[in-house]
Amino acid sequence: VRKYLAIQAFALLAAALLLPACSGDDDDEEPATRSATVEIIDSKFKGVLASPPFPKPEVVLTDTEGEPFDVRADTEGRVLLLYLGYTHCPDICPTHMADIDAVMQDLPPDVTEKLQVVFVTTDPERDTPERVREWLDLFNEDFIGLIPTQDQLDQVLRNLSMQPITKTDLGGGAYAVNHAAYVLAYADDNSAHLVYPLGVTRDVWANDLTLLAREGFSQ
Amino acid sequence: MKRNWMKWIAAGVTVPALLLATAACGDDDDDDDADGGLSVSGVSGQTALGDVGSVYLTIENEGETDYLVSARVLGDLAEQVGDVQHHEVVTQGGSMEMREIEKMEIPGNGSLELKRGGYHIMLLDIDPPIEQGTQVELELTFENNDPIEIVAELGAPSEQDGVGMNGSMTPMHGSMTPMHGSMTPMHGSMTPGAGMATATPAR
Repeated sequence: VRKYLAIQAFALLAAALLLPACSGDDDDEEPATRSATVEIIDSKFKGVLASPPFPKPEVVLTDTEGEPFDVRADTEGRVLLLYLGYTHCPDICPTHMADIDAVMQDLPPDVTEKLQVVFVTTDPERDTPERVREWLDLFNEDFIGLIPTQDQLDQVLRNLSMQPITKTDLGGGAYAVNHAAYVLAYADDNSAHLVYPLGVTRDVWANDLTLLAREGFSQ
Repeated sequence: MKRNWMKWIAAGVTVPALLLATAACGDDDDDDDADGGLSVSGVSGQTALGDVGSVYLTIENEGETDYLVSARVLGDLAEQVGDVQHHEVVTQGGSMEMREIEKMEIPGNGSLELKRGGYHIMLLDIDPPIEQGTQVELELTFENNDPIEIVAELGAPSEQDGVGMNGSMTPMHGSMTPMHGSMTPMHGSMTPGAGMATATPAR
């Protein structure tokens, strides 16, 4: 119930501040909830709040070893950092991976033990399992790499309410893959309430990951 | 620009920015280019698997507005690198998009910064792939000034500049207009673009 209220409060916060016409679930106690939103903004979390939260995709993909990976079941109870990207990405993707690895070096063991970093390629055409593994190993051998089929990728994007992948032709057969620019952080309630764009400082990451691992997402 | 250099050196980063060009280096021979106002600093680069790479740098301009119009690889690697392009990473709807830019403006008495999440020079189709740490010689050409040669070391992708520092956050380039309901930065710890508050629900 507590969780529900928190989510609803966020929805109302969003409704109050951002999208007055979009949220249909504002049942009761508007003034009280709204004043509570001030506290929520001044949150102990420092990432970017996603409202409504992203659900965890219900899909079984293939990992870099060729084994099935059930995104929900196999990350149950963990703090999941989910990132969609591609290995020919020159800029944002490797930086996100390097940033997360750097942050993890600083975190206490009880936090890192709860963390799971999962990379889903948005470029199954070029990203073979071997290539994804090789790429991830540059950052951290514990990062999990998943290679969806095109249909599975579309399903994941639908689950996340993200736009279908588009490509930018770079000539000579090369292309860039346009994809979400942020990392999704799932708490143990299977919801990503928080996302992290490029440029998040190490103290923001450390603060939020520690809280998510030890307390879950709540206010 | 001097301060930039100090920062890099202080950070213990070896900047392989060899300014080979005469006009921009300040060695006063008689190569009196228009106003000779361009200088390059903070050259760095990264490559993950060696087949694509990106180069970052800052171009200071003490003269009139100019444009970076092209970059090409010199030397032994010229054949190996399939193409060199400049891109801007645009974050829109929470989604990242890479766009090729024909020319990049270097404002007069200002600077152009190529950095992660913003502008970069991209090396594509490097075949065979290069090793991390390879030094690539590049010639940058401009609309009004003489070309400048630089050497960029394509190191391993690393933690973003500034991320390790507590306190202020390097704001993203561009703005983030989420597709998924709304996104609200917490705690004022982020400096989102103006688009942050505009919600475009995708459902």
